[in-house]
Amino acid sequence: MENIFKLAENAVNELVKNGSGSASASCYKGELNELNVDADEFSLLRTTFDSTLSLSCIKQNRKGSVSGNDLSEEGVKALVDECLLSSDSAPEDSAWEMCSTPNKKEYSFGTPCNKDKMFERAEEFLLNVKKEYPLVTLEQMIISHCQSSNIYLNNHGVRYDTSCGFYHIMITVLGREGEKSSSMSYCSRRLYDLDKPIIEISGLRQLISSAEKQIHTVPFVGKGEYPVILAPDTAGEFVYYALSNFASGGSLLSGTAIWKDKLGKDVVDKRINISIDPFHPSIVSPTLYTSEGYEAKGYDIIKDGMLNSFIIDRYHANKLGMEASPTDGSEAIIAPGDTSLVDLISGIDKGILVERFSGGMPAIDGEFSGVAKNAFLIEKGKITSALSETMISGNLEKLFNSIIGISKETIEDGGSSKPYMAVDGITVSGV
Amino acid sequence: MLKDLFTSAHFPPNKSSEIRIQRNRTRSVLLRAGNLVSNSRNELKGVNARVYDKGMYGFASANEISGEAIDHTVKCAGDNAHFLGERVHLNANNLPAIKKGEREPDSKMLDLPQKVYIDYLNELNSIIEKRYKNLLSNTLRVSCDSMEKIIRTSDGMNAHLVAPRSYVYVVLMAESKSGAPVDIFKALGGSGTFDEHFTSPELLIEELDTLYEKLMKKAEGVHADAGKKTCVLSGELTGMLSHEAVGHTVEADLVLGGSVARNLLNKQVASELVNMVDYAHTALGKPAPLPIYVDDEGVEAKDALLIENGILRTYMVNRDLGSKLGIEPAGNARAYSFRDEPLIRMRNTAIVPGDSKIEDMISSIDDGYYLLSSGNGQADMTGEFMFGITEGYEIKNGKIGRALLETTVSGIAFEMLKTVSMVGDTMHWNSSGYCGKKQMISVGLGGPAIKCEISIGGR
Repeated sequence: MENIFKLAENAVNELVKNGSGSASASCYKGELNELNVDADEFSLLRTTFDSTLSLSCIKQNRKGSVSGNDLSEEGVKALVDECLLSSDSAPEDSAWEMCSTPNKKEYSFGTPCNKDKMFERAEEFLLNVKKEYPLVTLEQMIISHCQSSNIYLNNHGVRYDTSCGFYHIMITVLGREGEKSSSMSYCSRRLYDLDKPIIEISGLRQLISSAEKQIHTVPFVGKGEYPVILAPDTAGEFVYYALSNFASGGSLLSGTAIWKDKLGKDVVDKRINISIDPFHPSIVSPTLYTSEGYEAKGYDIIKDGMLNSFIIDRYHANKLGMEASPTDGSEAIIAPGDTSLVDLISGIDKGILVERFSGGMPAIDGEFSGVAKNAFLIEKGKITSALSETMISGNLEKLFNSIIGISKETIEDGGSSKPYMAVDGITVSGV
Repeated sequence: MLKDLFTSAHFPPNKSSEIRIQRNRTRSVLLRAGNLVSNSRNELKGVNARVYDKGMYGFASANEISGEAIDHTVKCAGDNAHFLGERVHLNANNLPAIKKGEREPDSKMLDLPQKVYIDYLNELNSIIEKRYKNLLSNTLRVSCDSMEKIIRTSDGMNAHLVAPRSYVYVVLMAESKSGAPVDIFKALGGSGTFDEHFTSPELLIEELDTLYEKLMKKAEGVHADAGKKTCVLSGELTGMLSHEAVGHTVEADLVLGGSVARNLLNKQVASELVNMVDYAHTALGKPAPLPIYVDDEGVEAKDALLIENGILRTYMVNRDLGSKLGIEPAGNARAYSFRDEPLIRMRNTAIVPGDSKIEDMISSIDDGYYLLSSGNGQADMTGEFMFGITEGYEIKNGKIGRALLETTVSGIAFEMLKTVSMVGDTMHWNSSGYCGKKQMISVGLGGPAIKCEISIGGR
């Protein structure tokens, strides 16, 4: 840690010596170990040793940023020179800012890498899937562990030292029977340890059993507005799209954010609560400070349906005369509701459950259309069959104002927490 | 010379191995509503080694370029392969040897000061603000990435490769007739350095005028009528279809993972009018948009003929899966950065042009759509695909009608391709995006316009 501190400190001193009013350095040193399984078989063990140095400076209201991984004396000097040149080339803009209140914090999380454990858990998972879900193929599984030390510091007395070790698991499965295959189902989870079998991790059994059920599908018959249950990942994706388009710094500066005049006003159903909370107990390896050097804090974006805050960094906030968000992390916590998933389903006469949405970024006014993937037909309060390709379309603002219910159950993936959401107002078109 | 760092002593005996020294350089400038919101330069370099031992791969990388770093990564990669080998007990043979060879670069890692990019965008922004009065806003971005690789394999391939790309992305935004914001997007540029593509922003005026005109039509646009329709897809969309919906399903790792193509080799998967090729470096007598001469396993690159007269002919493989499936590797193993192992990737994937004129294709449709641009696309191993449509028009009685608001098309590739009834005569290439499959990688997508039946979303 001392070594990378010296490196960062020297770089900041050089930037200041050359006229920067504010300068920061973030130095990362890490080792990643990654085990790969492809088509049910082990294929690769990968180790990367890495260091990077990122520099920013504000010189006469002109900002430049650079990053590189040549941490030799000449390499760092070249990076400092590039950063200064880059800022000299930028136009003056007084909206740039860096934290100038001295603050020192040290953080330490997680556990060191255990390669044997990674292998054992992966082997056990392969056996569990084969035994419990014989029709499911593990198209790919990647288990990695990242051990890192990071120092952020600036010339105003701000310094954050972080050391962290955590596992990341990415799984893609599909069901196969004879010549028939299901669509892909995939998920990603971050964890501090591998204490429990992978198959027991939040949402994994649901993902795998869904792949098996999706081998044989029926088409959705008809076209019209039907109730739709968005599974947690889909609900989270739609929330992300809505907030990016309607309430982000970029959309506000462009003038396209349709919620630009709605701060403090009701924008969605009163049952919706969305916050960014890096310190939620489910979060692994949180964002601890902003890119401008401010210590991260959680905040509510939507409180009981009201727009409580935009998602906006210091630059965009200063530009627009607004208050900046207290973190630029993305640890989204969508509050659970008070209805069980079974009750949400049982209240629907005809509708669909959508586990994955394939549609990309909606239009900037919130209009979306796409394919409901890994979807199931709900009839008379029960899931009756898996659906083949079904199109869904609607408007994000209307969708979040047409909530039928929000589930008690949530999926926690280490970076967010999300429930199921049942909504009206989506057009479902089948064959 | 970096190449002098290599000696044969680095390779572990009797194991197929590769060593790669690599440098990735990116330059990025983002102007939003005339404000410089991002101004960054990034350069990452290092060395990696991959060792194949008893059917398992071990890989290691380090961000230092030296003889010691090479020795360290080779040892670590060998240890990793051994770690898996002794637990999995596959005991596979060594990989079949590949051809020896030498390759020198035909481009250079040229760099420009950040001021060039910033000044260019500021000037472009001034032109847009002065010229187009009905805009709500605009976003302009310069993105230049270049990659230099020195590859040496235990089989004797020595290659030095340089691949620069430079793009300007333009997004124009306006208000629709209902007061909602609408936007339109265009990527300009291609393989090569920034100054090869962009000299004066004035030279983009014709492209910008067209883009603005399209946006004004879109602002008056209508929703598509959802359902299965006869459509003409532009070359841009055909390229995306080739890559997303067909290309991924015939990558051998995904074939073994269960893609729909696993049962389709040498079977009819498309109309007889359809031919599809993953071009290595030259397409139809011209340089492909992102030429690949040697891949990151040291395999000399050649074209892969994927579909011939509608029949699926081969899969794209790497050395390992090529050996397992009995398919000769064609140079599809590519890695993004020095930290990354080569994966099976497409290069320049395209449907080959036919002989139909676009006017005839449109005039042959009574009620359908002409779909031109896509913002994004996704596909599944079942061949199910989805593309977001950002520019499209009605076709009524053989004539272009009203513009469409954003919509989506979807289908199952090998079913939809059987409905192709006309193939255009003009190739369109696009190389501005990345393909994401564990790592991101630059790819070329190409094709002519095609007439087909496809499901379209809407209201």
